Amino acid sequence: MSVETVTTRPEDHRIAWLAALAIAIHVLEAAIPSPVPGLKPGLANLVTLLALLAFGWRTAVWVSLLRVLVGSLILGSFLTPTFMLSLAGALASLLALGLGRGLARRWLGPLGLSLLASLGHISGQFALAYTLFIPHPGLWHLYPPLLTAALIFGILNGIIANLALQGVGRLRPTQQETASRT
Amino acid sequence: MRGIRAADLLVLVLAVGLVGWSYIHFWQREAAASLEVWVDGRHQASLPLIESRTLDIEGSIGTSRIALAPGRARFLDSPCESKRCVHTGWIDQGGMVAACLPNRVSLHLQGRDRRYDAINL
Repeated sequence: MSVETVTTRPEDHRIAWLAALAIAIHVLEAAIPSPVPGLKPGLANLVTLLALLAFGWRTAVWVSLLRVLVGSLILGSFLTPTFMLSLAGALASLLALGLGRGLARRWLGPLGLSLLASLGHISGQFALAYTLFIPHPGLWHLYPPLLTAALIFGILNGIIANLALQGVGRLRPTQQETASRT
Repeated sequence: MRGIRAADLLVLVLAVGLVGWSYIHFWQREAAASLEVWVDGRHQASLPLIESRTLDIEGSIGTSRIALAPGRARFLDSPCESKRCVHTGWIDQGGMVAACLPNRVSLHLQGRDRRYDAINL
């Protein structure tokens, strides 16, 4: 019998840690009662944004998709409409982040990227809900208020991401020190 | 604040613009131009809301009497028990609906460009 060994790179560990953090936030966030269906602060997406800013697009994609998959398995919503909406939002926001990062790497900071991600997220969800679940134009009546929420939470998350990055920036020298010692 | 760049502010301005546009585009109410009458799930008639008149519509359990007026319409009477359709009163915005479910008659107002046909929040 052959034993297969899986070697992991530091990048894999990084993705796993970040995904674990995102999943924890995702599950905690699901416990917060919401006055309107679909209204969520989207703090789990903060991890995706930080992953993008600190480690790049690939890491962000991994973290985001793992979060959606494992989060839905934990909450028991795998392959339900909730899961599909969650996935559509994640894909749309990754696309928006990728475009924003790709086109204006030097000029866009955490705030702009966070806004792109949050607006992309809700728009992707509406596009899916309209094509798949409720193909009725009345659905779009809900779009403006939820877009407003996305704007507000996008700004807040952008500010948090900005502060977090500055915090990481202050930590970085000591991190490198420990890394060189190990 | 440190870390905020010019393009961030540009994105912010565009985002606020998008939100404003979404309200204008999706929440705009418009005066009703015509009335669609549906009976038993089928489109029975489209009537312009220009002059005042009353009409009798044959439904599943009897006759519903409706009133048309310039820009608005309502149920006057219906052979149902609750008379919810009558209590709905005048409807006057594109997308608004009044319905008598027992008699399976519903009135749908249309704006000029027919963007919404059944729901108005």
